[in-house]
Amino acid sequence: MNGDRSSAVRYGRDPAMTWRDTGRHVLVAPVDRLVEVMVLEGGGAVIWRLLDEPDTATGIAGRLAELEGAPDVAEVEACLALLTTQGVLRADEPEAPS
Amino acid sequence: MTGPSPASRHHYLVRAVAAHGLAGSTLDLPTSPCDDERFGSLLRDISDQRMTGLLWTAIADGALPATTAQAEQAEWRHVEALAGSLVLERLLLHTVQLLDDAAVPYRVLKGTAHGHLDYPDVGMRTYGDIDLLVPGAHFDTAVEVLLEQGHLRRHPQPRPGFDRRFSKGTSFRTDDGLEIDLHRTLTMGPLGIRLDLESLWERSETFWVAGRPLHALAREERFFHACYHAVLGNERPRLTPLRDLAQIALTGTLDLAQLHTVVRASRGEAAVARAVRHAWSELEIADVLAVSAWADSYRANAKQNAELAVYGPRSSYANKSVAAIRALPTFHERASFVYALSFPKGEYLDQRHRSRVRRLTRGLTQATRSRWRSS
Repeated sequence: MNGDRSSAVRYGRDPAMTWRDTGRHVLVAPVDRLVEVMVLEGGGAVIWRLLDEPDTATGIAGRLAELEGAPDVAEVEACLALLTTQGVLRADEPEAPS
Repeated sequence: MTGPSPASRHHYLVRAVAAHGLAGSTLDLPTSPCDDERFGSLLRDISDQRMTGLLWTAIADGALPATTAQAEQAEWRHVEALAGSLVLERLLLHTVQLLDDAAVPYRVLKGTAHGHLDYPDVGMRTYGDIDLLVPGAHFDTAVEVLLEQGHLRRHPQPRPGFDRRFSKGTSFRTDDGLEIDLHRTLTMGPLGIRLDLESLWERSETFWVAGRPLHALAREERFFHACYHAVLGNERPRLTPLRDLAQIALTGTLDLAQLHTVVRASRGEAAVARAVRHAWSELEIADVLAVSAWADSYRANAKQNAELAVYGPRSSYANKSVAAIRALPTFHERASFVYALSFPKGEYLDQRHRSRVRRLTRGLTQATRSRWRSS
């Protein structure tokens, strides 16, 4: 089912990204594209820090809940989608069963 | 009785920030926020010396009290510096790929290497350009590679072949205004000429950026370079290289036998001892390490002091070049060096260089006269 497959999407940092963290802001810059350095704050910065290892939206929301109370899952998903669109994160679809 | 002057209190504060996080420093940060004017001066000096990472860390750690507005200013200044470092890192990766493709060996030097290898967090050390060491035999190829990218060479070489044989290196500016410093050796003047470059290439240390391995000098060689950078690069030693060398000495394990081998091979003992003494004094480091004890007890001879004076406050490009002649090992090399600087190619003689060449020619004439007099 579509819903099951989208919830299994794993988000991870794009490996072709160089970055720094001030503790308040996270700065990321792709090394393979000449675009401006992006500065993440708030939820975007927190999600970046959580993604040492790729995780699903549900997994990320669960870890956010441990850190700062239950998040709005729709907001987390919107943030992940935005970061993915901007090329900061990579979204890996689960492999289709053969 | 009067207390310390505002200038001296300010310098103390800048030094205390420079030493933040170094175990062993006795410099104290203030216990309450300073007024906005004083904080503005601090921020300006810290930014000039590329130490926003240390300032922000001191504030974020709670070691340096700051008002909310001051903390925001400090963090934002640091964000700007970090953004610059990231842009440079992208240029570095691209440049290193080109050098690899052209089979040119390289070592990443200075801020980039120190940040990744010597500091607990890479963000503590920002930088304003990229520095690469390439072997003299590959120097011309490396220059071609950078020129093919459309980067502008800032200063032409006096004559063909001068770079790969004698110069410290050369600088390039990209379309975006970024700077790449290509080094053949670690300093100009006699100590640069005498540097045992082969030994620098024997070992390396690797760090990773965006999944790509990059090669830097090994730890003891990085320490050695930080020492040279500290006392031979500027009239007054800047705090950043002093912090770099203290950072390496205090937070890692320096192999003293290896360090002595590297330093001795280049006969750089006097410069290294002076740099370590400066670092221990400016950063008020109380801890005595084997390397600081050695530096304290080291006594430079008259010849070494005369050489170091070439890098002193009243020295010039001409002084360093004249002193470099004496360090060249063969008569043929001395003759080539003097010829290249006395009769440079036309493009070297742009407006900026004319006066420099005139000064140098005067310097060479004086050197020749004094030699004749003494012979």
